Amino acid sequence: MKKHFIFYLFFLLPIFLFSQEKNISIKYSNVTRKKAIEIVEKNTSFHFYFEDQWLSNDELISGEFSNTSISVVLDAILNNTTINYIIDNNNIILSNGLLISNIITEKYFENTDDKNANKTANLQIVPIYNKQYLNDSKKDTDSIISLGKQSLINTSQTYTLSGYVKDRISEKPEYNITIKVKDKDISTTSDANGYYSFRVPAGINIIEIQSISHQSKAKKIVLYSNGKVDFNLDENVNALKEVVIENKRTKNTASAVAGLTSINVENIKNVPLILGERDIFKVATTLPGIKTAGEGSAGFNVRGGKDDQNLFLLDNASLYNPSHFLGFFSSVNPFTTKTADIYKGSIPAEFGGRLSSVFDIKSKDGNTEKVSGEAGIGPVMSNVTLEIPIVKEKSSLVFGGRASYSDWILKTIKEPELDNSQASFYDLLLKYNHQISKKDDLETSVYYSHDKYSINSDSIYKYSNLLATVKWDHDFNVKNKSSLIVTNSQYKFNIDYDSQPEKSFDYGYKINETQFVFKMKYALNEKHLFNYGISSKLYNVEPGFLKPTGSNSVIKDLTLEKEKALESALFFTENYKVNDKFLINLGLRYSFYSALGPSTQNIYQDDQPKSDRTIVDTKTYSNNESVKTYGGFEPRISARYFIMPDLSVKASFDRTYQYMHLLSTNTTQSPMDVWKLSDLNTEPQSSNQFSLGLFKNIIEKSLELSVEGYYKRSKNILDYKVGAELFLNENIETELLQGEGKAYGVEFLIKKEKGNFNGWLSYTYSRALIKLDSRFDSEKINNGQYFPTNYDKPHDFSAILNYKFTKRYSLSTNFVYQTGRPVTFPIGSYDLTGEQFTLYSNRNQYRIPDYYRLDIGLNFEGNHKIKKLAHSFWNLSVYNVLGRNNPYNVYFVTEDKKIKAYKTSIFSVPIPTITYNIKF
Amino acid sequence: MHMNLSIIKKTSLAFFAFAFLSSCTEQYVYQNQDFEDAMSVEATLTNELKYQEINISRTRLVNDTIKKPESGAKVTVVDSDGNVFNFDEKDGKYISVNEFKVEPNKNYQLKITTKSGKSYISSQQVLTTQNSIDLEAKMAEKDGTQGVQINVKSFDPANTSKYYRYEYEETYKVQTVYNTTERVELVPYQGSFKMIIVPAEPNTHICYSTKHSTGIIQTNTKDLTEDRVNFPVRFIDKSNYIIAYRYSILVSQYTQSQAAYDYYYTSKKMVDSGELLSPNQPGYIIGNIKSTSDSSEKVVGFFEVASVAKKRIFFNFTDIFPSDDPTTFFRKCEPEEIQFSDIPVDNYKVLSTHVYIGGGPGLSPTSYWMVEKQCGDCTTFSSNVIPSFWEN
Repeated sequence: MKKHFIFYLFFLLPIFLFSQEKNISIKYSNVTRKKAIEIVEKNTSFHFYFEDQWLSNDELISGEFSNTSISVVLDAILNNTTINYIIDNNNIILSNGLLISNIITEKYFENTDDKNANKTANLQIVPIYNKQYLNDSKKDTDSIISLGKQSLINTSQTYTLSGYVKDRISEKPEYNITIKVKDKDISTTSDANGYYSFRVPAGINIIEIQSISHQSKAKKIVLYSNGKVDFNLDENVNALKEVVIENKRTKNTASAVAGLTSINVENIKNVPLILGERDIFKVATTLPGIKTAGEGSAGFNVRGGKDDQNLFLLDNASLYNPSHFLGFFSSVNPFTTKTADIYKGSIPAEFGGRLSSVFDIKSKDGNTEKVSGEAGIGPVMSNVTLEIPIVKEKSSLVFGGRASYSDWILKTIKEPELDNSQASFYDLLLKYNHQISKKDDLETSVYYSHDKYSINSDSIYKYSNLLATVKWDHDFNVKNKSSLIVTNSQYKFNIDYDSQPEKSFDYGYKINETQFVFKMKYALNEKHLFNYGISSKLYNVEPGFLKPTGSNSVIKDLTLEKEKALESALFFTENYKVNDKFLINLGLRYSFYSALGPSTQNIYQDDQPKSDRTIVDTKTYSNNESVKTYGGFEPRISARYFIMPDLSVKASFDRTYQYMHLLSTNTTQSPMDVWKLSDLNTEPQSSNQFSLGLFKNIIEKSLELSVEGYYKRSKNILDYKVGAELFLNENIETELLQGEGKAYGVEFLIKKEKGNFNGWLSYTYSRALIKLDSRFDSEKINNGQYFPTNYDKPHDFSAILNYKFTKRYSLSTNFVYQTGRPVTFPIGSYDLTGEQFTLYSNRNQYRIPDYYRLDIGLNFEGNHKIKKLAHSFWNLSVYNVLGRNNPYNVYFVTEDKKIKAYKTSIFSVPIPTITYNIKF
Repeated sequence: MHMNLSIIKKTSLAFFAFAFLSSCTEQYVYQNQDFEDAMSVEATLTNELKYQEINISRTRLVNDTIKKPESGAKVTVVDSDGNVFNFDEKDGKYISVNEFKVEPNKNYQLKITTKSGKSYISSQQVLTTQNSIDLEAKMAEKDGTQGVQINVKSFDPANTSKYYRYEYEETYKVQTVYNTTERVELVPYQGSFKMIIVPAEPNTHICYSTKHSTGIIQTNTKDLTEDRVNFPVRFIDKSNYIIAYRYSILVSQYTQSQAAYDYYYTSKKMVDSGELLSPNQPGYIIGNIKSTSDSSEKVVGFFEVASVAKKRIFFNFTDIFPSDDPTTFFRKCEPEEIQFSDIPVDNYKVLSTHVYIGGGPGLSPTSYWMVEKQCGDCTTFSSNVIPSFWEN
């Protein structure tokens, strides 16, 4: 029928039509519109021409007319629809959305886009002719959607198109999908709830969906009012299996943000990982600019930054320890994670408090339609994820839990070496999201992670994260949106030491952070987008306590004084699109910090290095009294310019402040390192980063190339005096040095996302140096010159390569190479007071051996039948295939007056693992 | 499904165990070719009139115990009045040519020129406040065990001393378990040897051992309102044989400058590194001696000018523990019956490791009673010369 109708219209329309209206009498009650038309057709001489689906609406209507004009009857029947009609003698032609013009303008014949042609029309509206309608119909649009009727009174030039983007099968909202008007430079992306909204010109538009993870899609939309169109996307099976990680394709060249890496969590399953566990952060470290402090270390070094300079946010709350079991596994559950955005430069102004990076992790929203879930069995952990709708289409609950059963395994093994070893951990996430109204969304989540381990010793180490968040999004109108966020994070650890009864103790630490954020988004027009807001954080730190355990213990009871501080910020961002080629992102942040009482602070002799011996006075502060304030402007500016449509250049400048410091003498970050707040004697860190990058997409080959360079100067970077003793030190500032940091590097990335052979290669050359100079000799390190930091690893190369044999079998390999990290070696012995002492080299003068590792993984997917109970997935991987004995740490111990060097390596042999996942 | 599960669990069990076992800590042989040969100076000049002593050596390979003295250097100390004190090399040490003592209100500076022509200079040092000390020995408890504690007491009314370092020399009387009056002597006999019993060397039963303290012992009175020291410089377990009879200790208290104190303090912290939880930051400790030509050259040590106060006390075991019995010797001594026929074995080895305490059983013995030499001859580990300061 459709074809026939269109042909009919096509030939018919060019003819001048003058309708002659007849009056009719008709009655219909509780019928569909289609039925009503059929009734009219049956009882009158009119013939209707239309497409069934336009009237597929099940709504029942009733009406009674006697001797009424046919147009009045039709208006009644077609009321509340997008359907227009034209009466041609006895033929009534319905059209969806379009007002069929009965005045042919010259434009039709001229076939010109000249807008002046409209002048002939009475009103400033653009009639749509069938020719145009037909020409635009291309194969890539599967249907035409009409929103609103074109009428002689449609005066607006643009309308708001909004809706949700969902996965067709899972019905989960899809985040960060680009929705674009074809051939026009108008686009938007879907938000966390899959929601999008943008202004689209009136008339015919082809709306395209671009996504790596899903098949591209286009819809032709005839728009004459604000409307809602939902997109159901089909998973791109190829992409799902191959693409592991991506700078969102459109983001790569288009966004002004230079240092952003987005990890598509769904897709990381192909990277062969340690002990078969999916891990977001381990994937991140294969990207340029992000390095681990060592195998099995919890820390990350981003662009030459220290491992305490990264802000981990899980649903907006700070996650102080993002790792399980000494950093071997990430404590962020990939099965409940929706997105992980890593900013290593161009940090948005709304984020602050850390110098180097932001890991912004968002949890999944639950399925509001039906119960769904996922479960996995790995050699170390098992996991369960459940999504339960509470109020259909409105709210849902996500539960994600992972737990190790290694403790049970270790107990089962009759191996004396492991008698004293135990390791167990788990994490739980509960998230509830509720769409209160079209304008209000509420989400709240609770997260808890717990670790307990003991390796060949009698001391038991425990640590845990506890996070609670609430977020309320409110849309005031299309242009103004707001978010209110309240979070609380807590991190604590404990050590139960029980090796010798007379020295047994319980040692602990705790930090608590409460955060409040209010931010607004204002979309002024296509060119200007504003984000602004205020945030505030209250820190409460219990820096340490030591308690004797058991009656024989001679350990002295000690509790360090609590620390408290308030960190607040105002931020403002403008996204200014100067023109199609040039985009500027201007961020301004002013942060303000105040260390608060109750507190006692030492005043040191001015002309002497800080030490226990140079304290001249102790100042006492009452509760909430300001001890010391710091603050500063943090401009964040970035810009993008398209040199060619697929080649862009980006530049950015960032300044960041950080008011807290992590104390760790161990060269690798340990869960037992403590956070110290800035106070009278410890100043906040700050950093300025410049970066410049070139980004190129070769779309035909689905290749992404980028090269980025950065140069960073930092101030007040924390380091330690020779012999520094950090454990429960009441005057910790006497052991600290604050110096200048200098880091620079070039990062290269080649990525191929599609095809049977895909993956990426990344290489970074970078340096991270520090200078510790002082007017006192005893505070000078390496003669006051710049020297490599603990995490200076100039060469870093990663290759992730996947090959897909069939739709169900694929092979992935992962190769990593890193320069060994710097270390301070003993270089000689000498005598003093009749004992042997050790002479050490300059700090970080030597390096431990280079690190390299190859992993191979094989993936088998269950069959691809659409209708089946569950989808299964096997992964077989071998970690460290080459069996390289990579040193994790090299350290020196004085035993019986002799210095001994030890090297710890964690996995010096290939480790095969097998994992099974099931999705239902 | 159930079966599958159990299989996975079994395999994973093995894998995880494997992973744990494969993690290891091994001794690490790091490259040491770049061994840095630095000069090391140990110099504490005092206000005691004596031949002052300065130790200069080269640093040696890590864990090497053989000293490498820096010989042929020209060593002088100059004071702010222009006096030059020369030092001569003697037995690997540099000893002042003349006796002298450091005097207050003068600056002292150490100058070294090595044989290779490199010269070094220290910062200027001033004599610290002079004090006197008292000693007290009393019963105390430490880590749950009883013993005797020697406390140093000192008081500086001017409140200027504050930083103290200690050395001590302890001398104690030891008595072997067996008092040997006779010994076995080999005399040539018919082309071979025969054993005869002759009077033993006298005075091998009671000896006097003297040990010098090692390591850095420090205290400070920084946090006290008065510069009053009451510092436990030495603790000896009740069961330690060195206090079994009579014990004497000579404590030297060096009043340090703050910089010298810090240098020693940091050095000690580095040795004590390897604390339970986190090792202290290792590194090169900068002293106050520098190369005149290369400011980045490492020079180990601190040239210190310190006032010294000395005091000696004596006590007997019963003075401290009137109702207890001491542990009289540092080892167990069991008499052994050695058959005559066994004695020539290994070229009469037993005669160099054991001493004679009597004839074997029977009227015509075929053996001797002997004990290990330490049990009968204290000169094997101590000295039988009564020290000149000894008071009974």
